[in-house]
Amino acid sequence: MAKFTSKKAVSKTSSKPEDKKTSKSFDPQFATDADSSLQDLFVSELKDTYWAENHLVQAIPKMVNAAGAADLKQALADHLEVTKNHVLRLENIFELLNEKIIAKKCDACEGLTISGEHVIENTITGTQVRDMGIIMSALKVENFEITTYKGLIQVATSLDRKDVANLLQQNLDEEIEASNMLTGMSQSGTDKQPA
Amino acid sequence: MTQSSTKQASNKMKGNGTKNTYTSGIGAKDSMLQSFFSDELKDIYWAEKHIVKALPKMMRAATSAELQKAFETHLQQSKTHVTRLEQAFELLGKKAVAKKCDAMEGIVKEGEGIIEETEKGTATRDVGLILAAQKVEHYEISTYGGLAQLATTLGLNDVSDLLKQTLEEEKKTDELLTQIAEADVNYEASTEEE
Repeated sequence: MAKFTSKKAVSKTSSKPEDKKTSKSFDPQFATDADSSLQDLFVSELKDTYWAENHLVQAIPKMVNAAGAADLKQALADHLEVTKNHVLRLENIFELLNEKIIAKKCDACEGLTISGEHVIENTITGTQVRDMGIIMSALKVENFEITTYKGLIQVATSLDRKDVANLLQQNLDEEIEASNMLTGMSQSGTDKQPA
Repeated sequence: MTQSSTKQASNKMKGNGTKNTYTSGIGAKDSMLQSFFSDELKDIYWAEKHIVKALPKMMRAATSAELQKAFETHLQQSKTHVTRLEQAFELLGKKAVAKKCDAMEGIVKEGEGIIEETEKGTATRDVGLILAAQKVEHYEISTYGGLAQLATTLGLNDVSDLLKQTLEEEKKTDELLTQIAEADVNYEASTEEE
């Protein structure tokens, strides 16, 4: 935890406008108390994301079990560990904002994992089609998370919370990494003859 | 839905009258990959129809004229996407059937939650709506990307072309939403009183 908090000290608090966009959103006069409704929205999205990451910690092991190819199993298992760390980073953000750590059900993420379970139900164990289906569902989850983190980072920046944005950026980078790896797997998979 | 609208789209898409149907290759007995593909197609068909119903609500809820217009434009596009999917079913020699897409239902529900949580007429609501709309777009982008790839794997190039057209439009909408968010909305929201 302390490792993450130290990020705050690193973040630049310079009020010097870097470009048009940042100068607009960085006006400290506005950023202090006039932004409570945007901050409410931010915290609400954060609670959603926190629920989603926790949900994925439960969902990924099912995907590991259902996958056939050893490299896919490994990739998913690795991402499970990364996801657990995302949960911790989000907890750290709640602390930075002096907010209670609360999860709010994220219907979107629930729907995504239900769709993923359907894919497992509709395909046969050990087939390439099953693996392709798992990769496609996992990519949808990753892309959902990427969108969520990008949005959160944008709002955090508008709220002049570089420290929070930095933590979110670390989660985002790891989601992008996972998405790239899955994309690579799905493309190399298409060379093979489908089962 | 109608035969004529599907034909219209197919004529618009390709000037020539040669329309391949894959009934000989795919018709009677589908491979596992083929049936997985048509299942996914049914899913996104449901999702697009669901979006056509949801967008007017988002349009009414939006604050800025720019965002309202973006939603309106995307509503028209989404209707075309529905038609294109019907055309894809037709090329596969299959009935256009929608299968409930839990993911899209959840994503849209989340967007409705944002409307409930934010105040009408505020820039904060627009920030929330853009966040929600981008989740929709990115879901569609990954779905169409995956489907187009599967279609190519299956040798269904006509279907793949149709899916790619929609994919490009979804990407453009996503860029537009990002532009709107970056240009104005976030700034205005950060300066408004609750």
